[in-house]
Amino acid sequence: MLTISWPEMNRRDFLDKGLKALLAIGVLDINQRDELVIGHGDFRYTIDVNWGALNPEFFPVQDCHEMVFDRLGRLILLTNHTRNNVLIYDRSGKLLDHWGTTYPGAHGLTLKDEGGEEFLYLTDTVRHEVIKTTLDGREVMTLPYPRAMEAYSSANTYLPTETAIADNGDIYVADGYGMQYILQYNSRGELLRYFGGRGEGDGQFLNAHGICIDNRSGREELLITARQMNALKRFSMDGKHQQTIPLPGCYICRPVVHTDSVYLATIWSGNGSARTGFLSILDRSNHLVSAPGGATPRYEEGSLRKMYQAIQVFQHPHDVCVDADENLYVAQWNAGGTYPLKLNRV
Amino acid sequence: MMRYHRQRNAVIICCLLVTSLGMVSGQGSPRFQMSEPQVRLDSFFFFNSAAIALAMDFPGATVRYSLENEEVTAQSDEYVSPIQLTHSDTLVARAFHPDLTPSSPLRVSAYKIHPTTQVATVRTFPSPSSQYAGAGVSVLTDHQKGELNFASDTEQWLGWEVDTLRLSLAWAKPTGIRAISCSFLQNHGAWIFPPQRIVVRHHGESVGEATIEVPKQEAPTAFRLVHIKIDEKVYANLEVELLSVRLPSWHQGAGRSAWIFMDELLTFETQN
Repeated sequence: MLTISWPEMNRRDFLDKGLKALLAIGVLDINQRDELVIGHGDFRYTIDVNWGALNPEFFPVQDCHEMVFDRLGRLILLTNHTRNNVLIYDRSGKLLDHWGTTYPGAHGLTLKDEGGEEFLYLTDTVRHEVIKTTLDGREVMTLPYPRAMEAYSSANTYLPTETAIADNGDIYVADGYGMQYILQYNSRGELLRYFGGRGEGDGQFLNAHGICIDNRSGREELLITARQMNALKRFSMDGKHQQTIPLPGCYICRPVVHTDSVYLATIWSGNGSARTGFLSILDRSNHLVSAPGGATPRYEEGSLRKMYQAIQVFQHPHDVCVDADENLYVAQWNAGGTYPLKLNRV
Repeated sequence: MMRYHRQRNAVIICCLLVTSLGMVSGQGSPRFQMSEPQVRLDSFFFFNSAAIALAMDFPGATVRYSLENEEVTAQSDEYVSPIQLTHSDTLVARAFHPDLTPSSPLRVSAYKIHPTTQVATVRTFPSPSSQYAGAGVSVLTDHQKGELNFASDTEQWLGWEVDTLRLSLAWAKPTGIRAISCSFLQNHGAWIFPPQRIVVRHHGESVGEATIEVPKQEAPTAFRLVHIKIDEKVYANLEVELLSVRLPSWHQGAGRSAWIFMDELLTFETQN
């Protein structure tokens, strides 16, 4: 490796005059220090691909599925690698802690402050369960598959992908890889109701992958992704369909509400091919205003034009986490065992 | 929009690494790659002409293309408006940007078919899944392709989640047949793979077979057209057996049967 510094030479001149010969022979290239900025409008970011990198011999990941921040500002990452299902970082990307060896299908991760103590809710698509733990990994409750429901003939038909926890403690489970129901439990784990189910109706889902509580209107509502339908659906807390927000070309994983915006890792785009993901950011009116890594969002006669990837920044973004400075952390599914990357807001 | 932030640091020259993130990285900021252009083909099968539209809505990007499956370079024709095809052809397109690595080539083929091709009556065993029954089994012989995004096209695609699918073909009068083409969808994320094997039988005897390689993990969502030559004879009926793929180990549904999605079945008459 050859390092050259040129404190007094203009970089472009240097490129133009000094390196053309090297470039011409095709064995060396200049890696520009200029940083790419992606996104649109007020939501633009530089990219730190190395933010969460660790030594995979000691702390391997398989799919990095979801992330949450705790109140100490620690970023908690869930992976389905059973050497360490949970990795806990500080905001600089330093590993602080790790735990978990019994969640082979670790997928959904939600954090809830319950009377001053924070708890995690994990979904596991291999164990066919939802597991509630303390932040250091002690299991305090398990929700098995809903055998009382006629729709579920066996545990194998229940593949929960995400949870959302209401302020009253009710637990909403999205069976996004299973029968497409949203199951509402009380805080003791008793099934109260279910809604949704597989189908193309307003209140139904194809791949009800992610769910969250949306407080932006001043009251609690549910936002649920219908990933294969390229749509975000809004429901009342008792399961009544309120609105469908079409996002053509956007295969959205889970909604993350932060201040007035909704952030959605978009695992595929366009025709749904592999490695076509980007991020989707909606404003208070649920309009797509920025698509880091994607084409320019454009509305024509009130409808979003079909979205697609423009730059290959991401492989399969599966979740996005927002810090207090509105930087983004992106976990990826099926990305060669790579760690979360960070987008710094500019 | 996109721009580069300037940093006046030392330049580091090093050998390049091509990473799986679709970027070329040295030490310092990586250089990212453009994505493939978007394509819209108005008719995969056509009698007279087909139009191909391309797009890449990204500041500073251009799309260049070639026909007859030729490679695309920075000197190839720049796309400005839809391209009309009047014969079967393969278009290749790439997106270019001065600050980014050009995209991989996108290939799209359209097939001119003879308007006198006899249409068989098709029945399927079992029937398509109730969720993906399209506009009925007749869509298999209407010469209309479905959209790549099957969820936005509820008419043209038929879907089955089975180990074995059987199609029964019958002609109003015995017809000389030399080949069959089946059009499938490949979409890993939706658990849709082309079948791994197709056998065409007449009265139980095999008259044509095809084995389809299981798509690799990185294979894009795509149409898959499988052409099967069969013993050239006059047939009043044929049976087509399709064996579905077991989802491979890298797939999130590993071990389960993949869905088969089919939108067209063409039969080709014996040429006299």
